Amino acid sequence: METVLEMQNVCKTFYGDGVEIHANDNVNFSLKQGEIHALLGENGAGKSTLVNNLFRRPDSGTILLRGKEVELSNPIAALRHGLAIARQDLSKSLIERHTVAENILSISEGFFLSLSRIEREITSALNKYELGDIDPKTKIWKLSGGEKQRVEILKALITDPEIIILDEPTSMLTPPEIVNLFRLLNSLRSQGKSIIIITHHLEEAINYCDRITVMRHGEVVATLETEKEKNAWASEEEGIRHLATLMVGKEVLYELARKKMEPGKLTAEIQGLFATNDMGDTVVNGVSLQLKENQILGIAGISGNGQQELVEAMLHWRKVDSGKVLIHGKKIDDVSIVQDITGKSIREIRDLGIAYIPEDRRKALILDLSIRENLILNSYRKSGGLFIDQKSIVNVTEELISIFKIKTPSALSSVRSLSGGNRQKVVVARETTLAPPEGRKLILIAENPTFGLDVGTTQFVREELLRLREEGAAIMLISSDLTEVLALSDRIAVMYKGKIMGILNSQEATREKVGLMMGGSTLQEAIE
Amino acid sequence: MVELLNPILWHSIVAAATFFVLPTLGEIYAERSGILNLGIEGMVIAGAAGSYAIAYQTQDILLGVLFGMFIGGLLATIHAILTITFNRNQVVSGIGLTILGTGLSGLLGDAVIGKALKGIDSTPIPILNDIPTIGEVFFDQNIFVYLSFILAPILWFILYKTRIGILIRSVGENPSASMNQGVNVRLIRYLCVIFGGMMAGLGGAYLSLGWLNFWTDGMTQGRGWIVIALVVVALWNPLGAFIGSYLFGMFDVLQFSFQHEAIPFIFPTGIPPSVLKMMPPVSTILFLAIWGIILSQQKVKSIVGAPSALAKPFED
Repeated sequence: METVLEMQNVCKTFYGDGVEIHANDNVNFSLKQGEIHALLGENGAGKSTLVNNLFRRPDSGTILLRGKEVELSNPIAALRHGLAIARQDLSKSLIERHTVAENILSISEGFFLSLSRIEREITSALNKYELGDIDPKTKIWKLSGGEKQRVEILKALITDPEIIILDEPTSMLTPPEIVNLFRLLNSLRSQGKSIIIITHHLEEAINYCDRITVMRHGEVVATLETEKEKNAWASEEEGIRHLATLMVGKEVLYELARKKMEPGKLTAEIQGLFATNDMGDTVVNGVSLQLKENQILGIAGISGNGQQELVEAMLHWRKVDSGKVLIHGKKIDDVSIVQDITGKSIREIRDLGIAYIPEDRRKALILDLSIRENLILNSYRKSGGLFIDQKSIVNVTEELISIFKIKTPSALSSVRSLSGGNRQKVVVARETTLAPPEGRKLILIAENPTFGLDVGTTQFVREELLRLREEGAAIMLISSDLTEVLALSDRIAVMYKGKIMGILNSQEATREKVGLMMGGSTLQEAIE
Repeated sequence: MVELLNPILWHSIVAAATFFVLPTLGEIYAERSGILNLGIEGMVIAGAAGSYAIAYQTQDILLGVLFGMFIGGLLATIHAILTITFNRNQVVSGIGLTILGTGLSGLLGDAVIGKALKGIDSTPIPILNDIPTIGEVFFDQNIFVYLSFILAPILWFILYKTRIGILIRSVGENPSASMNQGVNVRLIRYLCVIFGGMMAGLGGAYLSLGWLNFWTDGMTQGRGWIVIALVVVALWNPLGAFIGSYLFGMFDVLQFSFQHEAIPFIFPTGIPPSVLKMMPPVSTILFLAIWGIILSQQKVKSIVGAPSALAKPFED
């Protein structure tokens, strides 16, 4: 097969916070005609940087298209050479206030704008690629996460490119939509198009891609032929383990040991909760859930189905329209006392021993304060009086830094200087060590706690959640990563359009059932 | 009692409002592309002084007007270089340029303070001019006024119905997304900011050559600042520029007409000039407060409201 794209000795360095980051260090990469090529690696391994080099000049290195050296200094040049990309960060790729048609400008030309012509072309392209029904006149902010992702993919495909690059295209899609997408990619491949796909889902790479390139610390570690490797691997799990090892550079334990535990006492309860999003639309639609000690309740669902608003309503970050959040039992042997925390201040809620790990780390950290100051954000009041007890703070924070292996030269460094993984460790360290009042166990609400973390830190956070569960904590785990929910939860509630579609226990929950429910099937339909 | 239906009164209101319309149209384009230009006051006043001086020296009004636009565009170019190429703080640069423009106006206009010059005559438009009252108010004006009538719909059309218009709006909403689509973000922003400066200079030329027909230090009386507020009142829409401008034009004129009006119990001897002078700034604050409350609703914000990337530095 002919090689359509070749990158030779590509280098790209970023400068930030006084450090040089060699995001791409002499990378060699090739793409053959008519192949689906997966690009794997941990966060920060340089995958997105590598493909972005095709849309702006790298610091050094050569780019060859069909054997001819080309200079792709800006997105227009790339477009002219038949390259198109669907980007990962949609907030930097789609204009929320504009319509779908206004977002797809690459097919417009001339002085006057014929939106109706663009709208017709979009509709026919949506049908051609079977990307579903989206009205091109809709404003982007009205679309769901999955619809936005499909618009972004369409934006790449509509220019009829020879080389298609998809940067994490499946993060907001339901499992059936993912299957559809790969069916589409297959048919594009058979038309002779070449596709690069960046993904975190190793099984997608194994099942659908012809070749797999693994990157680590800005360098290419290996390029594998999937067919050949498949013969060597005994099972898909072994393949996943092999790829994960290549990504991390050392053996990783991919299994989690979730000990069998009896559910404990009922500790928190949500009753018929309704809440609206910032636009005033009701996105939490009568949610009722129960949290028990020694148990992890997983909330599965594509992000943007009301999970975030649900958590915010529970914690008084958002107004509750109706419904209640109840905390059971002030003391361990005093089950009868029920406290209604709906509408209570955040401080009162947190003082009951409710910890929160938000998805957006900026909601949990003050980047310009030191690690030490960030670690005591929820306990500094214990000092009492006007001054802070410096000595005990030093002891407590040094201990946390060593227990949670936060990589930093000093506790006084700003959180901003830490990598994403270490920032998350600061949040996890602070929140999981929150001391509940005498006689109560911790209630932890973790919202995509491993989002954007590398394999090592992900493993660490997940083990931490399981450890807390064994210590008696009641954990609510909101995650759009189905694998994570299935691996950690004792019970799984599936959320779709603000409603709980059903609650399954860990024995009956399969990827297929939960996947169907994430797309809007009821529990009954999913079982059948 | 002031004759509120007097066509002469309305004729002067139109003349006063036109001064606001021209720079507001320019600033709308600059802000739509994502750049806040607080230097409008400086560009207006330097444009007013520069155009009057050149027109006086050369006795060529057109040359004067063009020079006023040139000065405005030049100052705006400084703003563009600082904020677009070097990503400096837009507020600081804008305020700095207001100070620079005010100083420059003193220098340029020094020789012509109080010197009389025959300004631009009004050119009645045939036929339209004969419509009773309306003809007198709107169609017996000078060329600047007609220009504002024509420019607003043209600029509206460009912004909403042409390719360059949607590029301008895209760049002001989300520069990263626009760049990813192959749009030259910096070029578009440069064009819009310089255009805005030229319109401010044109407004200044109108002030000294077309409306008041003299030059004196500080003659804008801070009207350039009101333009910044008018952009918000106009909801960043070129047609909306008329609404606020005519309202403020009214305040500008009526403050002279009402000086001798008595209001029973409150001002039995007539409204003091200081109270009337307060009207434009007070109503600006009121307007912005009401608008602010309405626009803070998320649902409203996602339909109308400030361009999302306004005044945010953009590094690619």
